[in-house]
Amino acid sequence: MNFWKRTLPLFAVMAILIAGGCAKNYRITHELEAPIDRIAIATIGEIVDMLPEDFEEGKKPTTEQIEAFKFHLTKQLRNKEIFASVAYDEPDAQYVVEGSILQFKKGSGLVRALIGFGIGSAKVTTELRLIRRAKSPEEQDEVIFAGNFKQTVSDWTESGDKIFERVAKDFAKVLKKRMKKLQKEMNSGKDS
Amino acid sequence: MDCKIKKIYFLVFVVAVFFTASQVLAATASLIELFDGTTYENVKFRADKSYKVISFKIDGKKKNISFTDISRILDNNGEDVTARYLGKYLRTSQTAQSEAVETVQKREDWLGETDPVREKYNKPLWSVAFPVSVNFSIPAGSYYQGFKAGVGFTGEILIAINRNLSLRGTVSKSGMQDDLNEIAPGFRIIDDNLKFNVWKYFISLQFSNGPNWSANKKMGLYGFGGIGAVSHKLTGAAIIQDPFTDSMFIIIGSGEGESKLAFTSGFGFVGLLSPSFGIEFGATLDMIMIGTRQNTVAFDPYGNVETALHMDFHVGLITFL
Repeated sequence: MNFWKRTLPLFAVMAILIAGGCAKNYRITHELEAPIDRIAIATIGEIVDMLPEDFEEGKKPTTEQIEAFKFHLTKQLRNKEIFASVAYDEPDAQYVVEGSILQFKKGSGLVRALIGFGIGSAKVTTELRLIRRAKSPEEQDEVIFAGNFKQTVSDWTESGDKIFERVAKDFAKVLKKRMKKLQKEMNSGKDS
Repeated sequence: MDCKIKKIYFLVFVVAVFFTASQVLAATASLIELFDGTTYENVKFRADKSYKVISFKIDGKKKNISFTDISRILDNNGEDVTARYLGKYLRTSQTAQSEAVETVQKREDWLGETDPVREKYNKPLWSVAFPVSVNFSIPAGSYYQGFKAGVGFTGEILIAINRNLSLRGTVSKSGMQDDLNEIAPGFRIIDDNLKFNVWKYFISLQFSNGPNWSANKKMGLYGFGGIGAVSHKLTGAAIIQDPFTDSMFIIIGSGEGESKLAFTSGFGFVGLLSPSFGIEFGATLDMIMIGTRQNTVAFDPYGNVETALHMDFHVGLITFL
């Protein structure tokens, strides 16, 4: 009895911490309703600055970091084979991934190494949207999937820029998961 | 209950209070209006400032809306409380409109072929690179009988042609050494001052897959193939003694160079330590065309080309300009 008295609160704290740690790093704001045409071509569009107006200019992500983010989005979407092809700046693509940077903290590798405990962490919150481009002038571009994605690097052994790679990975993973679910639903509908 | 358990209970209590408080802080809005004109009436929502979304349930399903899409939130009294929940992410339709115009402008700039950032990203990681390494060279083939592996050095220059291809110029001193025990088996070695100098000169075409510091790709792979020459020179002298007759013999290196046509191929890895500095390691196989030897088959007048091989392992540093 004494053993449980001592250990139960510890288990409770650990469970809460684990639950917090395993929490999703995103909030889907627009769920994909129908599977994407797998022979379609996608491209990576612009990633714009939507940081608060008083955000210090020097602390904003650099153009190189945004380019790296676009590179990772291209790579992750290709890896997941959601589209027939994911091209860079492809004007004829049927789908385009666009995004906004909502929050950014560059962090410091040295501070992470010397102090730790989350101090010096690199953080980013982005809004990513998958848009179906209008096929004719009468139609309008339509957001078919969107979400806000957050990532943090608090480990000193990793580069702070890893946040962009992780966000790109999350985006591709969630989209793929949703695609699979929709296809499964479609197949079960056909079978019945 | 001792003091330690009390502390643990207190910690659990604090965590539980925070969790509960975050749920209780949900507010009711009489209207949530989005920039695209969509409206939600009489919803109980929660502002998640971490993900910059507002969450609420509609028809039993959870709905998230990004702060960037929200035009205004009215409370139960009809008062505009948008600023309270969105904070610095509050945007009026007018600012959203001006941002949209800016975005289009940005996109046009971005897609411009002459955009400096785009040019910078698309150009090769470096224009010129200088790898310097230590190599361990292992000879193979009858041509190198009497010589053993050793440590040498390599200096190279890489000139980028495009993002993946570059021209690789190599000058390498192989560390191969003479092995008198194999040259004169059974003889006693009195003195050995023989020096076997093998220099290699190659021009190769190299394909590299990264690395790229700005894309956070710290490790890259490369492979290359090329043509060149290998020169051999044996200098100095050695004294050996016949253990049965005690006769002494002197082996003198001719000092004359002998250059041979050679082909090289190899692969390796580059790891970046900074945007302009890294380490590299890899392996190279050189095939040296020794010459022709008369075939023992009488009716074959052409003979065969004899080859020798060098297997090199190298590790070194690389500087990018």
